[in-house]
Amino acid sequence: MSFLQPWMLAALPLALIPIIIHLINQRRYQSTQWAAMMFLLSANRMNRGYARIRQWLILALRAIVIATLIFAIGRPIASGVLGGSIAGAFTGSGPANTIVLLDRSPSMQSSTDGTSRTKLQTGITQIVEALQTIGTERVVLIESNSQTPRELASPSDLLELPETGPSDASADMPAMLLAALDHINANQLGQTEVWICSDLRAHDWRSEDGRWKSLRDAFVDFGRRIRFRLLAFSSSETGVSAAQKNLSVRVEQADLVTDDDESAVVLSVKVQQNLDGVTSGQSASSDESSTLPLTLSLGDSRTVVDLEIRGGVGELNGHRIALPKGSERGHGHVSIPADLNPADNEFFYTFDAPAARRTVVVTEDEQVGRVLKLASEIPSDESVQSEAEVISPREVDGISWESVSLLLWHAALPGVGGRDGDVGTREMIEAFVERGGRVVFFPSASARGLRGSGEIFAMHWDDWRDADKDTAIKSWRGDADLLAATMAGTSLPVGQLKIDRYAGLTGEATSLATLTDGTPLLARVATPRGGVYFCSTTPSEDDSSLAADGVVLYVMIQRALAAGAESLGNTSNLEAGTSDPKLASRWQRLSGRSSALSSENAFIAGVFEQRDEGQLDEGRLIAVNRSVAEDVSATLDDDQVESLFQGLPFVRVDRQAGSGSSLVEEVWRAFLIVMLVAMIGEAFLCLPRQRTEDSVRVPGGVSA
Amino acid sequence: MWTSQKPRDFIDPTVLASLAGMPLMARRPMRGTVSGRHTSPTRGSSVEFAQYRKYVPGDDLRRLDWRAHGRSDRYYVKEFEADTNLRCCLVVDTSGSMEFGTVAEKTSDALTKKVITKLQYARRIAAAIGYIAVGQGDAVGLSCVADGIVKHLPALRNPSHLRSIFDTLEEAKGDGQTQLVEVLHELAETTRQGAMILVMSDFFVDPDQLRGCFEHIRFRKHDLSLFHLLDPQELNFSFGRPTRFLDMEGGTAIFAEPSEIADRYQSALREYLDRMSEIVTQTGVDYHRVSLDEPYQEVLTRFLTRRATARGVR
Repeated sequence: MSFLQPWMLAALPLALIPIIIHLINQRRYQSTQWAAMMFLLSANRMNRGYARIRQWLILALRAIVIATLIFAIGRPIASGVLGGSIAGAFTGSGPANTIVLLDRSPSMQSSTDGTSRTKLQTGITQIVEALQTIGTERVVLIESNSQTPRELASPSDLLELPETGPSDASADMPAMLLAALDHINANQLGQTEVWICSDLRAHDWRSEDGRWKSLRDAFVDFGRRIRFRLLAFSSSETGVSAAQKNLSVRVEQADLVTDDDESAVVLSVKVQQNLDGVTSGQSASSDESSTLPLTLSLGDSRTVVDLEIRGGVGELNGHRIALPKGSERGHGHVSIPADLNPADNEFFYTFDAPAARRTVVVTEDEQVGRVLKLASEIPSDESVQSEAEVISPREVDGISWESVSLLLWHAALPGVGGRDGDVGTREMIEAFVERGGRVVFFPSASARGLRGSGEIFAMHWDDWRDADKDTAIKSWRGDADLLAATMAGTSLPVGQLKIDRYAGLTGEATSLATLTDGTPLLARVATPRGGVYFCSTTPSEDDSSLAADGVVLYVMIQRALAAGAESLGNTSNLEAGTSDPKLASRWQRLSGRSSALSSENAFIAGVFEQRDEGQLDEGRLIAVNRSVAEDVSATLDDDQVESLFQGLPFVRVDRQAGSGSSLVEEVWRAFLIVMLVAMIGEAFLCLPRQRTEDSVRVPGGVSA
Repeated sequence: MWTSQKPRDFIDPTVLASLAGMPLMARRPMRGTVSGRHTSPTRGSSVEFAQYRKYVPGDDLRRLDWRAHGRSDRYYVKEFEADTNLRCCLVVDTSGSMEFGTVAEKTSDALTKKVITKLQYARRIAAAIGYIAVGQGDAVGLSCVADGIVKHLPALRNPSHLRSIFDTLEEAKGDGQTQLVEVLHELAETTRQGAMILVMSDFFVDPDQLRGCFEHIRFRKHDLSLFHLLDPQELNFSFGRPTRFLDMEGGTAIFAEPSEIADRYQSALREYLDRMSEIVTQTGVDYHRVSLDEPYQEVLTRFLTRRATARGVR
């Protein structure tokens, strides 16, 4: 508990006045001659213990009366749940600086009954009320979208700023805390309270992230200067009831299918039931079956389809929506009726005729060139057109990069140590990757040593090594990227590959497949966009069985090709928050929440059109939606939260969406009530047990 | 009639004058030495007829009722009530507790603030009753008692004896512990039967012990009257701040917060007074509880009037 007028507490010693008066009174006794000692002795013997207790009770009650009066005048606020600092309670009403970390992720838009205030609104309101009550000199907002500090004129600005409204982008809590830490360091802030308003979703908090440790270490150095207040809206303690069911809709696939005469969009939609704090798979009522009206919108037309929800999941696969003749491009959205969280009731999609998948194979080895060309040319989908050409490294300058999706490089690496023209080539490849293209580098089979063959993306080859008979592929990543298992869950036969010769690789890369001696067979270099892979062997029959056991090579190349082609397409489906906000601010919103600011285009779900400067024809369609992780309602448990803030001054307050109770409330009335009760008690104890008039008769005579 | 030679503060001529018309009557037959105005247990020669009784040889023939003999042919002796005087024994408690008093005396001099102690009050009552008794020819004696009989004057009906009584009352000082129970037993035994005993005290002793005294005195055919003197402060116990109570009879001092023990004090006092009332009723004692703020004239008037109406004045 803290006080709005803490200086009043200086008057607390006044509560000792009754005791002091009592003691003084004891010292100020009078002496008198007394005759009727027999009654005094008798009175002194009777109920001595009770009288003493009563005396001290009266004194205590009098002290309580004064103390509670002083407390009441000090305007106490019930911020006990927030654990007000002791120093703050006596030296000042509020902290000097307050940093509000606001989780605006879609899950924060859920409410208890679908109509009342959302978690986000409730959190903001309560923080504003609390800050207005306890007062603060500076308020800085760090919201989950921009993750940049923004100083506010007053706490009430939180209620009006569009940057505190709902968003469809996931939050990155470590990044927000990092921003807060940077702000504190940059501005040399003193006593600071960091208020975190979040629903503790696991994917927003990323508790396994390595940044937490460094953040904790950095904040621990501040001691009690930085205090954390977590306003948690994890509603797992509220229990699971039918009213808390929440459904989310997601378009898994939106493909344009063109037949002889007509074209149509084929949609695959998945509706998933989430319970607050519980995933659908854990739901007790997962066997229930129900029907849900699913609204499919395409342009101006709408179709409502009844979707059966069984076991908490409903799927609509291969639903065709016919397109007008000549229409090959468009966008729409899928929606479900309103429920607890409106943020996951809508999903936007775009479609367009797929771009041709063009692969360029750079090699001087005919055999390798032929194998790679074959693996690139044969499309996995009949409707997709695939092309591949094999060129020598000398012809690289003539590549038309604009239409290339995949570059397969089987030659000396272009780079600093290479030929004069290598620098230009390297820059072109980097620009290609920056645009979203994919590159797979294979070690050159030339007689020249690989070590001096150049460097690109901070990677270079080492010398060739001959594999012994024990050399095999020890492990590979089957969960993601090029070697991921198939959609049916079948693993690629990577382990069956035979490696006869491979090249060493030096540089920072993530290994996707590793040989028994630890050398990566396939590695991916981290780049902001696009994809850069290094395969340490070649499809040559002297080097490996990649060509003979062609499945792995084919799948690998086709996946890289598909990913690269996507960057060339005229449509794209992005997760909210993954695009550059500056770039996205130039997009034109075609569908979605029209009231959203253009600066938040990258974070608000909808369909956008991206046009380059001077472009007159139709631009690129971009659908922005929430991430897949947003549909998984797993939250951090109490122990995880405690461990994240271990060693830090941290107070957690659990609230529910729509909760009306304030975080801080003035509770002087309670003190006045206590004071009144104490006064009544004191008066009751001071009452004479019997009236004097009754006790002694009027003097008179008795005559027998 | 004796006339005071020097002024005594416990004698108010006005009060004595107002009481002059009220006789001091005994409630039971007294054994006097001379003729007086009180009924005697023996038959005598007064004008008030008592009874007839058969003549027995030796009776005075002058008392034979010849008329009765004429009617019944039997000899009857006509008897009359005997009138005698009484012996009034005044017992004044002069223990230390009798020096307590808080009631301011009404004096013409406003500057001198004087309080009436219980002993002074007792002096006034004793002096007035003595004066009345001597005035009507009764013998008056005085015993000042504390931890024993401090002073004793035998009952004499000589008016000049009154001076000795007044002197003794004037000289009496409150001191020492009360041994009232033992003294009353002694007086009951040493005083000749059929006397009037008036005790003026605060009776701060165990009532059950007093019961024995009263029964003893009654057994000795004395007419016992008690003036129970209490100061208003003792009745109300109205103190404002912590007080150290010093025992006026030399006991241990007690420190107390009056507001805390007032109720229990009142309870003990009430129990004591109830017990006293019960005892005096059961033992047939003429009991007068007197608060010192009550004028003693009224107390005496009430005392004398009640006796006169109960017995009848002759």
